[in-house]
Amino acid sequence: MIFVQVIKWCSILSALLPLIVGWQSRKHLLWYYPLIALLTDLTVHIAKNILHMPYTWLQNCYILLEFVLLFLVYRPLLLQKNGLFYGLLSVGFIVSFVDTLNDNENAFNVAGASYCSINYIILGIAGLYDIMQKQKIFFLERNWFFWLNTGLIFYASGNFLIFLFTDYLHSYNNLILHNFWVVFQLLNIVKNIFLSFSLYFMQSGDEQPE
Amino acid sequence: MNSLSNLLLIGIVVMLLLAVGIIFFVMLYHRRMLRHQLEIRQINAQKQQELVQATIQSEERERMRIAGELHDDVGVTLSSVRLFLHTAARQPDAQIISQSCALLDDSIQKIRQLSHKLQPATLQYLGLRASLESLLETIGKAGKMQTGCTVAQLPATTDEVALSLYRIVQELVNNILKHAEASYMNLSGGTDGGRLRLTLRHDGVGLTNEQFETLTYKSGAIGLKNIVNRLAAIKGSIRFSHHPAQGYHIQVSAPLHKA
Repeated sequence: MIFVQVIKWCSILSALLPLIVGWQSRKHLLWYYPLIALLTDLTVHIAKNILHMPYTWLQNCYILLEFVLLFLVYRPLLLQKNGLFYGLLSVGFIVSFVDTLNDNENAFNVAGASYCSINYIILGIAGLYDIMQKQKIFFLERNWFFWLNTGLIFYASGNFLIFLFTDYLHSYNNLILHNFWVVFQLLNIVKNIFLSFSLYFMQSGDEQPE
Repeated sequence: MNSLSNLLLIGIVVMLLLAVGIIFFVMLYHRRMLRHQLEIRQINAQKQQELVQATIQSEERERMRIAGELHDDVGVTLSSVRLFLHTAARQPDAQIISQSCALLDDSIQKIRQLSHKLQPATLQYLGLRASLESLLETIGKAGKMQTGCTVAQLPATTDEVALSLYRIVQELVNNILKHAEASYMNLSGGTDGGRLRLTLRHDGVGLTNEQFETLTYKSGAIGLKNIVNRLAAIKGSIRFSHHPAQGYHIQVSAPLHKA
């Protein structure tokens, strides 16, 4: 139990790492991603443990916000075509909305979260492919886009199955679900580490999203 | 339930391993491409150096040739004239003076020829078309091969473009004479969409584009490297091709900078 609590707080506070390390890059939209994650995690913790209020709707909102934010970050780099950008964004909203209607606003948005994870995996792979194709980068390990794609692929590929089977595990054995949620938190920590590399190497003012 | 959670765990591990695999693949691929790019840059830098060396060597060779001709030919003749005039100064002699005049005429003629080789007078006064016609005619008259020149009337261009194209054609013609064992050579040309195009056609053994590229990367082939340098200076291009019925074609083109 203590271990689970430690991992939980490490996961929440790991968002501070990219915020501090990437302070110089705070003009870039990507910097707000860990900020929103940190605020959401803290709010969920307060709602769940202190105020004893429903909190899943906050997580669902965060899923959508994260989705929009990452799409905006990737827009100038990979999603310049309006059709593709708005199309994928709309599908995400529709999937989340339909899933909310199917369950209720206090149930975790499984379909939305899974759809977003698939998109992050595709964006990450497309980003790496873009780097390979353009061949403009000399030091790959000093490129902010490489670290963003790496973090996103890692995070999303690990979490995709967890999100997909959340409802199923929740209905059968909550303990197993909590164990997998620890895996999610570990992946979150890894993602924030990669994000801090990304923000560190990012030049302020380069490749700003629209 | 246990089996499901085990399967789920295995699934997550597999997905993560795939992600790691993709990232490693990208890193290895990037390193390989980088190494490849560096190799290409080194080869290009080496080629650039060789091109510069070729220019320097060519200039030095030309200087040595001019120096040799001036010293061995003109210098000797003028020394003889000096000797004759010294003798004539002591003892005036119409024959000695006449011989001195003849030797001076000979020297003047040799200096004119030397000057023409350095900068053809026809190019300066009559233009590129006339110079090329004259060049082909001179070779035809030498009897080694039949030549023809069907270059259309060319618009005026800058001295740099005219001289470079003349020298390129001169070098190509010299190479054909030395290596191609051709019996016939024809030069045609004109303008086409703001570019000047000259096509040299011969029935001997020629080069393909790939062979030309290969030779410019190797050491030696100074003439070809000079062609590359001259083309680069006037933003021109060269293309070698072979047509079974028509023999080898060499097409040189350059932008027409109107004078």
